[in-house]
Amino acid sequence: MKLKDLAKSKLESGKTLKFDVGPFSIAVKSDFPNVYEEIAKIYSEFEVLSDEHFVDFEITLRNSHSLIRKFFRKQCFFQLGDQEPFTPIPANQAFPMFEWGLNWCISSNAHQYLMIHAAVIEKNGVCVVLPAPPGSGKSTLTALLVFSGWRLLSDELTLIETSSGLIQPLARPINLKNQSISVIKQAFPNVAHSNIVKDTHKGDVCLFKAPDASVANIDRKSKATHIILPKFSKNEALSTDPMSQDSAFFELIANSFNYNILGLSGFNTLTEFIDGTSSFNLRYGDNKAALEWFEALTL
Amino acid sequence: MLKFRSNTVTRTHEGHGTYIYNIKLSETLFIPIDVETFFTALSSGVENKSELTEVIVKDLDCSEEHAMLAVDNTLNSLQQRALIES
Repeated sequence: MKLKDLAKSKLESGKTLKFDVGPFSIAVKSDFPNVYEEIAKIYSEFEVLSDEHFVDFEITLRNSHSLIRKFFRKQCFFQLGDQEPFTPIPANQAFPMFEWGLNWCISSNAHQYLMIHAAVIEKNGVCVVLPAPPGSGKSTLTALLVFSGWRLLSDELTLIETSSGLIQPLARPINLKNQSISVIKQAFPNVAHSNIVKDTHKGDVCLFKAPDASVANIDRKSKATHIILPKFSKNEALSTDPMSQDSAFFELIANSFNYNILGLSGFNTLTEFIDGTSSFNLRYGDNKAALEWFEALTL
Repeated sequence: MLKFRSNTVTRTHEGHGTYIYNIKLSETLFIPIDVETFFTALSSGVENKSELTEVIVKDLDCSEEHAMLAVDNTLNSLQQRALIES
């Protein structure tokens, strides 16, 4: 059963909701009703798990224990099992907190993968990894591409299987910030998204639902063919600059969460992974030109 | 004797170069030489630089001067990161 088919009675505060997110299974229990509403909307195509199912991450989003904080300036606490890794944030940010917290759960624990901070998209066998620092326009570009027909493997966490060097899709929602939100809403008015949460520590944030086809193909792993480092710069004409293989290799290490933790396995995985890929720096100031450039890769 | 420090592994990518990793030091290095036999020789150990130079000349069919320069630069990089036994 998918989350969209779940009865509303299962989505009430305090209930535990279990579902699969790619290779991971999670349980969520929340004191905040909007977390269930947003999950039901944004993760609607993901599979629900039975109550007895073992899960990888047991997440709780809870109210403060303080009586005053339950009514005045309400706060949200994130828990993984008994751990509370973060300071609390305002309760209206509970759903983004779930997303950020789930990123943390995966990046801190899933060492069966070499994990890179990068988006991944695929079309006609062309699989592009987009590592980039915050502010480079990576997520906006990813959203533009996947809502124009590319398959989303990941917006944030690239999971490279250490055994095969293939990328395991996650197809979780795309997290957009500030001006990017209106850019994507205007370009794709029919794409489902969460409510905009204003004034978080990252600015205004909004999560856009991954295309259904990307979720349906969540088990289809891909071999990377390109590594592209995008940089949006307003009014700049599109330009590309080929990167040497070793530059791309060290760029991936710099963006990796666990290369050093994995040791030799990380080295072996990354040397296999980089083999046969083409790498470029991409600078652009016009989204349409960038989309056309990516389209040309698939021809 | 010139030899890689123990626990050093190499991966040569043709047309690009060779990635080197030392497990104990967690050190990753890239050398832009894609002559696998050169790194195999360093793994086994050689008596002196000229043996390494010969490997390069034989594989790349380049001049001895160019090969010596490549050997010197490579050994210098490896020694700086303590990847060669002293």
